Parts: sequence; structure tokens; C-alpha cells
Amino acid sequence: MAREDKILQTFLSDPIIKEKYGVETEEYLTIEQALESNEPIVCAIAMIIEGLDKDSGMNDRTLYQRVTNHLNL
Amino acid sequence: MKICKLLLENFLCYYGKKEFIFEDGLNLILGRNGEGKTKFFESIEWLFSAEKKDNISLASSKAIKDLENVSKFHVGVTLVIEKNGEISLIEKSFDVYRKEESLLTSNFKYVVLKDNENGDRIPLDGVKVLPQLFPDHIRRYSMFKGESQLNIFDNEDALKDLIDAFSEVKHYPIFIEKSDIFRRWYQEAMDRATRTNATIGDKMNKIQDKIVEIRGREFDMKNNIKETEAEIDKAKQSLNKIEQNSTKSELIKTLNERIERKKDTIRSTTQRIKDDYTTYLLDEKWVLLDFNEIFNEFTKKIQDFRKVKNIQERQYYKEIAKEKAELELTGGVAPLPWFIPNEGTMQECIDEKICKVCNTPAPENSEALKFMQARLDDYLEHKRREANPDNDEDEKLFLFDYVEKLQQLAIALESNDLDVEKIKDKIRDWQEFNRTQKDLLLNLKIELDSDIEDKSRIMADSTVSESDLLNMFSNIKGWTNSISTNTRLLVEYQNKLTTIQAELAEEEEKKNRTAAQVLPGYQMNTFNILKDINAVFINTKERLLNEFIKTLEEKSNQFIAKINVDDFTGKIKLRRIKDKIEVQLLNIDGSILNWPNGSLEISKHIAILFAISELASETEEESFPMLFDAPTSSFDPAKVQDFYNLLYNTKKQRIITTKDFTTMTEERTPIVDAKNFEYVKRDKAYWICRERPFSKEDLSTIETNVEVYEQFI
Repeated sequence: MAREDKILQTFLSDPIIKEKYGVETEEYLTIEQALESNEPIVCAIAMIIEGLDKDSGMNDRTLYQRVTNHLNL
Repeated sequence: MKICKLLLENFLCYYGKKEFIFEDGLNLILGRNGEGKTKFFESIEWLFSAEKKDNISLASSKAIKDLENVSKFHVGVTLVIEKNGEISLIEKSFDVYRKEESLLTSNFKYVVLKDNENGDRIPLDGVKVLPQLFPDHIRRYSMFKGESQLNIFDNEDALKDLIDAFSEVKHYPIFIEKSDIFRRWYQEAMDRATRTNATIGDKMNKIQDKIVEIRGREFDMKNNIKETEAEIDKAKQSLNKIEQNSTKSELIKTLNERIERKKDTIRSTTQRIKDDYTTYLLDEKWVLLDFNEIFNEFTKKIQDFRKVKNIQERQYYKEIAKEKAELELTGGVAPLPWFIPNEGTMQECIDEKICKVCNTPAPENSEALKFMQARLDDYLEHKRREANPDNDEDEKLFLFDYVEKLQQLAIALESNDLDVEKIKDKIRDWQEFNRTQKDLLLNLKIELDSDIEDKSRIMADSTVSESDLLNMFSNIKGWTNSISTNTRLLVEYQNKLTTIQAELAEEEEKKNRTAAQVLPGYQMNTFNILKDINAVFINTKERLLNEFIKTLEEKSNQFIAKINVDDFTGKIKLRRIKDKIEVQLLNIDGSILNWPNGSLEISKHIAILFAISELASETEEESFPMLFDAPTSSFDPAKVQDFYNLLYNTKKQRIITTKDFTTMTEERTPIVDAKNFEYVKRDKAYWICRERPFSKEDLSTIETNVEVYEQFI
């Protein structure tokens, strides 16, 4: 498992995700799967993980715009 | 990774080529203080250091002296390691030569030699390749010099360093930081939109002003908390320092007392030794030691003389008797005995001039009168002799009778015979006493030297001066009071902060509710999700960090259960206080064990280090060796053997240099204390010892010899 996927799993296992948003986290094993999610919080978290990867080349402002645009939808 | 072999060449005290071959288990390098243990450790430190230059001060002084006969010599440290089945040689070396009066170096090498696919040995840059073989962060938790380095948590950044080295937690702070920025940016955007809104603008501004005011109080309160925590921290650190040094303090006190006691005993023992034997020869009559032999010879000679004398006397008296008999028998008449007639009759005869024996007149000048006068004289002489038999000189052959006197002397001396035996016993006892005292003195001096060495070593390993070590206990009360007062203050500040933060949350909520009146629902939704994402990131990092500490704690407890030599049945507790770890020992009932003894304290540190080593093995998917230089200096000597046996059972490669199980002979030669070392389980043991004789002042006489210590286990 890639490090990003492991990080995603640790975030998704937080009680807020399950209890407040009722997300079945077992469905999302990879960043790619999470980015496809209909759950805004799951997708936003995946975007942040992907965007903060040093290879993404994305700056903070661009990532912010990407995340908030998605959440505002 | 396994360290297979270490080759030292002209490195400090390791003159010439010296080799250590290690096993994959417990390797012990035994040596007394000053024999080369720390230099062994330093050779590996130098090899692993990124320092990419030669250093003339590392060259053996003995090899430098050889430059009188040779043009140059090689200084080098080579480590052979096995990693994933591949053998690599790490070599750092340089040459030393003399030019005129100066010592110069050349040909510096720092290479890793690895075999390529064709079996050719390729030299690679040591600085670049070493971190791949033995990563820096692993090495940092693999090599420990002295006791003071064993407590890795005695360092502000200890937890961060550990996390950076062995935990995934290190990847999480960035998520917290960025999600917080995104939340704030979104909040600011909402604020801008609402504060200029005609309907709610004033209300929003008032709420915002209130929030700013509350945040100001929150800031002040956080500062108060920070300062109070710093005070508590300072007091705790001081107490920790006292606790960490309590063993040292006790040891120094004990050693000082022992040193003084030994000095006193040495003084009194020295005074007791009486070996001024020249004086005793006469004063104590020791000169008579061989008297009996001489006396026997003396008495034998007297007996011989007596025999000769008796023979001569018998002969003499025989001849006299014979002469007298011949004289007295002249005329064929037997003479009257000398006492007939008696003195009175004889005197009457002379006075009356008539012989009353034969009634013959004896006129004046007659032969008869002369005869009578001669008889009287003879009579008187006999009487005189009877009265003074000793004065019977004229008839003795030996006038002074020296033989008799010698005989009497012999008899007199014979009665002194027992006294001579007593002298012999006395000399023997005295010599035995002196010998015992000298043995005792020698042992005392060895023990004194050892105590002084131990003290120097403890002080060399201490960050605190001797006077501070001895006086540190007087400050305990002050620090304890500071902790108690500031802890009360901290609770008070934290309660106030909670109240302030509740007030702040209420205002934020009010602001959000007010904003929701004019902002579209999706914006409030986005904001709430951004807040939740930030909370999730914070929670996750905290959870992982706590899990990491728990894992470390569990592993540490597994090891302390194995290496505990003090029947300690409690637990190691790693308490996280913000960004630091406080290590405690808990009793079985959960209470804190304060002031553990030195052995338990070291066992605790080593258990944590082994736990970290295991974490390293898990994260790197291979195990790494651990090297310790004299880790058991504060260990109770009675427990050292158990400790090494327990280390042996951990079945990992450990290389430990130690003074344990060594001693000195009466001639002050260091040796392995074979009796105590016999049952220490180990995979390999080396004995290092300087070539004797040497001069401490002349380093060119120093050469440490290395030999495998073979002994039945």
C-alpha cells in the first residue's frame, strides 16, 4: 500500500468521519477511489493528501481553491 | 545488518594490525580502564563519521616512533558488514610519513567496497553509501558511549527525533498546518462577505470585536500556562537531574568514604609492618637463629675435649701414683699415713725434739728433726688441700680446667635452648605477620587505585561537578515546592482557559449563526467540513502518536521483563507531556517508583533502547547491531553477570566493551576474572590489554593487544 493510501486510511478511521458523516470508509482503499467519492469530506481529504504530495507541484492557494470549489458544489 | 569484522591498523593504542571478529549475538570486549575500550569504540565512531579527512592525532604514537626506521605507515579502520547476504567493506584510512621534522599525511581514503555482479570489488564513496548501509537515524540509536548517553529522553527533541526516525506520525503535521490555513482563509472570506452586509454587518462587527477581545485574553492565558509549564519543567528537569545523578551521587559518596577508609587502613597497616630486621638481629637476639646448630657443634667439641682430657688426666694420675708408690716403697717399709701422728703430736715432737713414735731424740739441725718438720708440713698441706680442694693446683694436669668451664657454659646455654626456639617461632610469626600485612597492603592499594579509577570514570561521565553531586540533595525541597505551587497555578490557568475558550466558541457559534442568515447554505457547509477536516487531522496525528508511544512502552516492558536484574515486577511508563516523553517506573500497584537504584535505572534505559532497536528493525525490515561502551559502570557488581546473561537471551547482535569481569594480579597485571566470567553467556569474548611494561608518560610505549578469550562456558 502506498504511503498516501495508508494516510487516507488513518484519516478515514477517525470517529468524526464515521459518526458525523456516516461514511462507510471500507469502500475507499486508495486515493483514487476516494477522489471518486460522492462524500464531499472523503473527496476533500483525498484532494489534500494528493495535493500535499511533493510531486503534485500544487501550491497552497491552488489546493485551497480546488478543495473549496469541490466542497462548494 | 551484522558487523562481521573490525580491522584496526595503527589506530591510537592499536599498534600494528589488530582484528576483532564478531558473532551474531552477544560480543563482549573485556579490558581494564585505559586498556583501549573507548578507543575501540571511537574507531567505529570515526569510521561512521562523515568527516572526510585524515587526522594525524589518530595515528599510533608507537608507529610514529617507527618512522625512524620506516618511510611511512598506514592508519586505518575497516569494518566488514553483512547486509541482506551481501558483504561490504567500509574503510577509512590514510598514510603517515615524516618530512624533515614534520609529520605529514597522504592517501586518505573513505570508501565502501562492494562486489558487483561480476564479482569485482568496486570502491564507492563512503559518505554517500554508508547511509544506505547503516542509516544515520538508526546509527543514532545503535551506538552509546558511557552511561550518560543511555537516557535518550534526556533531550528536548527526543520524541521528535524518535518520530522522525521510526514513526509515520512525522508525515501528519503538514496536514494539520494546511487544513488550519484553509479553514482560516475560508473563515476570513466569510467574514469579509458578512461584515459589509447591510443587514448583519454591525452585529457581525460587534461579535468580531468581542471575539478579538476574547482571543486577547486567550493569548494571555496561554502565555501564563506556557510560563508556568516552563517553571514546572525546569523544576522537574532539576529533580530528574538529581534522580539521574542520585546513583552517581551515592556512588561518589560511597567511593569517597571507601577511599578515605582505605587510606586510613593503608596508613595503619604500613605502621604495623615492622621489617627493620637489622635492628632485631641484636635487639631481639635474632642473630641466635642458628644457635642450636652451633651449640650442638660446641657441645660435641667439649665432649671430645673431655674425652681427651680424661685420658690425659688418667694417664697423668697414674704416673704420679706410680712415682709416689715407688718413692714410698723405698726401704721396703710401708710409710705411715699422712695424718699419723696428728698435728698436735707432731708439734710436741718438734717442740720437745724427740720422736714420740720411735722414742728417738731429734736434736737441733738433726735429720730426724728435719724429717718431723717435713711430716708436719706435709700434714698441714693435706689439711689445707682438704679445706680448699680447688686450690689443689700443683697436682692438677689442667690448671684452669677450661674444659670443665666450657662444659658448665654448655649446661648453662642448654637451659637457654628453649628461648632460641622461641626466637625462631617469633621470627617466623613476625615474618608471616609482615607478609600478611604486605599482602593486605598490596590488595588495599589495588582496591584504592580501582576506587580512584572508578571515581574518575564516574566523574568523566557526569555532567555535574563533584561538589554539586554531593550537595544536590539539599535542593530537592525547593524544586518540589516549585512543582507543587506551579501545578496548582497551572490547574487554575487551565480552568480559566477552558472558560475563555467556551466563551470564544459561543461567540464563534453566534457569528456563524448570524452569518448563516445571509450566506448561502453551501458556504456554511464548506466551512463546517473544513473545520471537521482540521479536527480529523489533529485527532489522527494525536492517535498515531499515542499508539507509537504505547508500542514503544509495550516493547520496553517486554525487554525490561527480560533484562530486569532486580526482580522488578512493575512497568515502564512513557508519559507524554506535550512534545516530550517522561519515563517513569511504576510499581506493581501503579505507584511511581522514585529513586530506582543504578542497576534498575540502566536496565530501564537499555530496555527502551532495545525497544527502539526493534522498532527500527520493523520499519527498516532488518535488524541492526547495537554497540555500547561501558554501559554498566553504575551497575551493582553482584548483578552484572545476570544482566549479561539476560542480554545474551535477547539474541541480537550486541557489541559491548566493559571493565566487568576483570581484575588485577598481585603484580598489578590485569587479567580476566575467570571465576566470575566463567558462567557469563556470550557468543564471543575478547580480552584487550596493553603490552607490559609501558610508560604512561611515553605514548610510544603503548600497544593494546587483542586476543580472543576462550573459556569453557
